[in-house]
Amino acid sequence: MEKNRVFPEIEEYLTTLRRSCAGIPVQECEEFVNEIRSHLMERVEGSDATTESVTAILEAMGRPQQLAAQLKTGHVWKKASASFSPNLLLRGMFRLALTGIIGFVAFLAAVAGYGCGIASLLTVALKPFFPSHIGLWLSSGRTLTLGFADGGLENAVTYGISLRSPGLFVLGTLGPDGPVRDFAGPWIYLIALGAAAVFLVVTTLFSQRIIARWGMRRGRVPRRATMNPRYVG
Amino acid sequence: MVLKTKGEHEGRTGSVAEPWEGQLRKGSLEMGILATLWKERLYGLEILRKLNSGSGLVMLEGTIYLILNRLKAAGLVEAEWVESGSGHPRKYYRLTPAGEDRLMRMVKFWSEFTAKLDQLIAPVHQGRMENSNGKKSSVSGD
Repeated sequence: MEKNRVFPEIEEYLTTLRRSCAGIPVQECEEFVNEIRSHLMERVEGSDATTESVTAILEAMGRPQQLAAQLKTGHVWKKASASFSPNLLLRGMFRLALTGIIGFVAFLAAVAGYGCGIASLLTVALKPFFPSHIGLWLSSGRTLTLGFADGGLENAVTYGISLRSPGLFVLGTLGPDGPVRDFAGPWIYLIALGAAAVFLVVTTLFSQRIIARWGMRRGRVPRRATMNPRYVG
Repeated sequence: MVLKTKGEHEGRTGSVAEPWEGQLRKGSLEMGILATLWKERLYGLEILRKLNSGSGLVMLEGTIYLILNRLKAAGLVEAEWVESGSGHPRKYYRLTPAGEDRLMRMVKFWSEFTAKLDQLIAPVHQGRMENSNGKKSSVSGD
């Protein structure tokens, strides 16, 4: 085969791969594209270089969009496993959620954890503006809520982080549960800040650990990406 | 290069690879890749050929570069570009000391695991042999 021959199908494949890599560092993307190019060219040199064989070689490599998506996932996991950014960690956990049931449950736990952290911070921020509606509320039906209570105290609906005996926990509301009273008074600031710190720190450490263990180390790759029943090289 | 048809891949059972089979192969892929690099440095296509000739680990070829990328990020392999006579450079991989250590631990676990599993499935093998012998003798009896 003529050396340095250009194959339009391969160039198109590599262009799509490069374009789909948007979002990861250019150097990392280029290195990956160059490696794929080297592989494809060596494959083509070992074939009769017809349109059919080039198409088969590209098919055996996998769809460029799919490869790029997995490269991006690896990049997000690598950054997230050492990051304290909730945004990055949630993106990493979302990608993990797509790999299976354990990842999905872990993602929901992270969303709930950060949600509780934000609700606690909102409690602190809103207390000066709505002093009679923000607090740590205990209802006659034994529901404890950190957050907002609407309407009269006789039959208020509370919104926030709610616990109800025995063991019911929601981020939102459990509906009206009889008269409520403010359980914390001025201590609400300290309690809410403490709760926010605990939720945010625990969720961050949990997300980092899960991504490092289930993402980075185990290298979760969708099954369809590893098995190719048509090709054995 | 060999292109296998769907029928050729179907194998002993006459069915396309089942989910558990895919999971088993996928689970052993990282160890397989590290094992190919035990004695020598190799580039991606060589690793792929060695995997498929030595273990029958069939895979979508691009996946191997994703896994190598991850192993490199984890410090288990290191890579360098080398010019080749064919006109395009190749990226060669070799194990790092951490990669050798990980591979040895994986191999130890694998050996112990398969030895125990072999004991567990020995009666199944025996049952298959007896069934097979029974069929042969019934055929010869006819």
